[in-house]
Amino acid sequence: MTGELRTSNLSPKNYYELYMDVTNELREMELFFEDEDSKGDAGHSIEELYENVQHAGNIIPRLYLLVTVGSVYVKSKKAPAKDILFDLVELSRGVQHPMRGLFLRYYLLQISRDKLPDAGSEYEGFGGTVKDAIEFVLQNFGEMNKLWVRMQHQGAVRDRQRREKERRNLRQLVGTSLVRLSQMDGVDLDTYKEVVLPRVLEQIVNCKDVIAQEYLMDSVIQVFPDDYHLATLETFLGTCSQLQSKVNVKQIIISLMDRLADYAKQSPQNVPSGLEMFPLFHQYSSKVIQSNQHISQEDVLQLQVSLIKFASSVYPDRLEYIDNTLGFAAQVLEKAGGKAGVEPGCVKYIRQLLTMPLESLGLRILKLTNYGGLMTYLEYYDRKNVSVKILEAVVFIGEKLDSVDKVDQIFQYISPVIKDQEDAKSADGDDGDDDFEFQQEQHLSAQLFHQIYHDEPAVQVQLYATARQHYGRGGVRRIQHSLPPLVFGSLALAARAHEKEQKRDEDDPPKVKTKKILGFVHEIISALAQHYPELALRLFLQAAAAADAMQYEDIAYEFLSQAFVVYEEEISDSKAQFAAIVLIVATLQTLGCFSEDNYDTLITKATQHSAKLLKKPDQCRAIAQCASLFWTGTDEEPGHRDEKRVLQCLQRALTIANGAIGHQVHLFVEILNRYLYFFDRDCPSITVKYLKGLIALIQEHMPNLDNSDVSEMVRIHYRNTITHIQVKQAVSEKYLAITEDEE
Amino acid sequence: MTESTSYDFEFANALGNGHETYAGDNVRLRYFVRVQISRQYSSNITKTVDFAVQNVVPEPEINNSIKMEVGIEDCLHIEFEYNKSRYSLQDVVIGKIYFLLVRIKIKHMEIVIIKRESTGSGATVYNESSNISKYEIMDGAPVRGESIPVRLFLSPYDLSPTMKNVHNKFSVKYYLNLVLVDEEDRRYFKQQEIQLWRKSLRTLPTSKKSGPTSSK
Repeated sequence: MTGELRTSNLSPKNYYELYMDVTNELREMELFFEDEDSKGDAGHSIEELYENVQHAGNIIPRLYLLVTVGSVYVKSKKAPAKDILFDLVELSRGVQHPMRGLFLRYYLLQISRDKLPDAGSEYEGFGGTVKDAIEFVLQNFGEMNKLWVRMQHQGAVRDRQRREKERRNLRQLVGTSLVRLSQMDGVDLDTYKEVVLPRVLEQIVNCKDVIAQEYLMDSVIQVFPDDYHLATLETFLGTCSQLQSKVNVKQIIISLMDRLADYAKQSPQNVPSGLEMFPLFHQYSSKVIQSNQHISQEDVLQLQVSLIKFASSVYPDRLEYIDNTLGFAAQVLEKAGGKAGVEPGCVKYIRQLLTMPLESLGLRILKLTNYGGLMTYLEYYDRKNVSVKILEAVVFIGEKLDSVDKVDQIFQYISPVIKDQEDAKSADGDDGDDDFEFQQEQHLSAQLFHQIYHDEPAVQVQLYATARQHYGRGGVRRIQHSLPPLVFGSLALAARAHEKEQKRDEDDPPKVKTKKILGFVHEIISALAQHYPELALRLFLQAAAAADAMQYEDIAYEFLSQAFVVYEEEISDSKAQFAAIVLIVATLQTLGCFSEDNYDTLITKATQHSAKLLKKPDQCRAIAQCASLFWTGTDEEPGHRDEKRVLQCLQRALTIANGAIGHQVHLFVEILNRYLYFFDRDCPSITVKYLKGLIALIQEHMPNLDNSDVSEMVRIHYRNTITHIQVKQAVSEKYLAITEDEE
Repeated sequence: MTESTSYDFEFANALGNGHETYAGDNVRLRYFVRVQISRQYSSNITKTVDFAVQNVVPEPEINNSIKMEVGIEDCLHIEFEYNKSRYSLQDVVIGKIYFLLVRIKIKHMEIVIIKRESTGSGATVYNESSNISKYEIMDGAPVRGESIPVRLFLSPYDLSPTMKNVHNKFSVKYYLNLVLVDEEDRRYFKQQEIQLWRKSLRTLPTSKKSGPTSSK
């Protein structure tokens, strides 16, 4: 049966199956041998068996049986374990056929796994020492590796692919030796450093085979614990530079770096303090890059990415590491011919180089001198993506931008987002889904703006000015998104500055005039006016409200008049006009700082414009609203009150409503509500007489309503209004008069 | 003589030459005792009894190892070594084969024990070789610098001691033939004579012959 293993006809996979079947049977054989030995004189002693088995004529069966007997022999302890084991590993040299030899030695390794004179095992002492055990495994490993490498050169050249594939299938057989070494209790850090690693590395270097070197170096990293690697880092990295040129060394260095980065993150106390890991890695990766002329740009950049990852996670404070790495990458790209020389596969690495430090560093990337330079090597689209990532990270972290430099730099980094780039595709081509993306980006940039903050308003003004400069270059599409935050931020800042001015603190004198800030705001909104009049209008109104709160009458007046200008010059659409007027009126109504004259001018203007609206219903509603302008303030603090004008407005509105064909009842009801509003507030000119008249008017027109939904709404509105009156009647006497005569 | 009578006899130095009983392919060496009773009136009565003679000799004083380098120019150079040149019949041939140059594709390597019986003398010498056993010592192709261990147990095989010029009638010599077979089944070999000697008496489990007599 063991003779079956002599075959040359099987592929490694099939041979492996055969091997498994045979070795299963050999396990039975082992029990039989044990039995024989224990029979004493009646059977054959194990020593006899050991010899008898060697009489077999063919070497493969002979050795498989011998290993099996040897196993029983070791267990019986009738001879030192090491003697038997060394004898077996020595005789195994008779099998020079790579695949068969590999399997035989693998069998030897498996069988002997629990019989090594390891530290603390039952075989130690009489059976040998830890050194013997290590020596045994190392010898077997060395021979297995030799055989494995030999497979590469057997056979015809054209079969090389298939051979290499077969080799890869078998690599685990060789790797198991390393696993066994790592499992040995007797292999502690010192033994590993002094004995095991040098031998293993020697074997790896001497075999000069690419597949073996790649696999074994990687196995060493995976199989042995991380603190061993830390202690032997230099040795290991030194070996990396001695490997064959086709070996993917960068992958080895990268996987080691990743592993150690994770380890250092999890248990930083175990890292020996004198060990400067990063310089070592940097040194060796540079060596690898220099010594290998054919190393691809992709590989170099991948190495840099790994270095950055390592530096960010293990040494987040050492900015110079990251900076140097970025600088190196930039150099490499420059040598390759700048932006044009960047290979397509490398783009993602450049992206990674730029985005990876963000997580751990946040705004400190601004301190990295090489950061911006590296960005220039990307094409527009990728640059934009990086900018977006930067924005997201900075916004997420929420760190404050509190110096002109910071603001400048950050805006520079995000310049693809905030202004058009030379190499961008023409904006005309972008529409549709690009639009959504565009909006997202602008929102992010606006969010960023709000992080600009400094305790001292004067400084913040400067910062805002810097931001303004950057945003100003953004072009028409962008300013609708970027300038409003600027306005609101400035208004808030103005409030702060104003507060400071009011305080008149000797120790902390105000360094900037509020008026200056408001002037700044004015300029910004004006810039918007031409392209986004509605937006500008709202902003002017907002600014006016702010100025009003600070009691700056002139400035507020100026803002309001600008709002009117915008209205007159830019807003021509009827609907927009109506909306604008309503806004203006609403705002005006709340402002309290104006003198009589100014206020008069303004509200007159407002009323005039309301009257000039195109559609009658609009006119009617607007004028009705203007009525509020003439009755501002509360009972305790009355503002402008002119009851005559209130009534005038309402009457006017009524007249217009009369003329509004199809909307009369609707408007009547609304006007009624307005009347009631002023009645409630005790406006003297609004008397019961008018109310009663209007109610009668409505009731007159009610039957003329058709049955549409809109009309139904009107009816409901009227009913609600009547209900409101009835409710009020219970509370306040004057309401009783409304329905008095009717009843 | 009318009744059972026993007569002792003794042949002193009968086996002075010290040759063993040997039964080979073409020649036999027998020892027997023949009793002839002469009678006047009728034929003689003869009785022949064979007996075996085993020659146990002491350990040879000089027992050099065999070490030699052989090869074929530009093809194959090996150095082989056997630990002794004289082996007892229960001994183990221990040695190694060291490859100095390998340019052929070797399939396997084996050691063959050859027995050569030469009968006749002078002009009429007839040699016959027979392979006693084939023992594979290597499977697969080695490379330069490999050293393959040899451990060949002689006890399983039916071997006799080396016999030189027995009565000028025959010789029995043994050789170790180291054979390398390449992928095209070509055989490369090196024959080396070894001397076999009997160290101790060999006993059979059931002995048909009368007990062994040592001729010391």
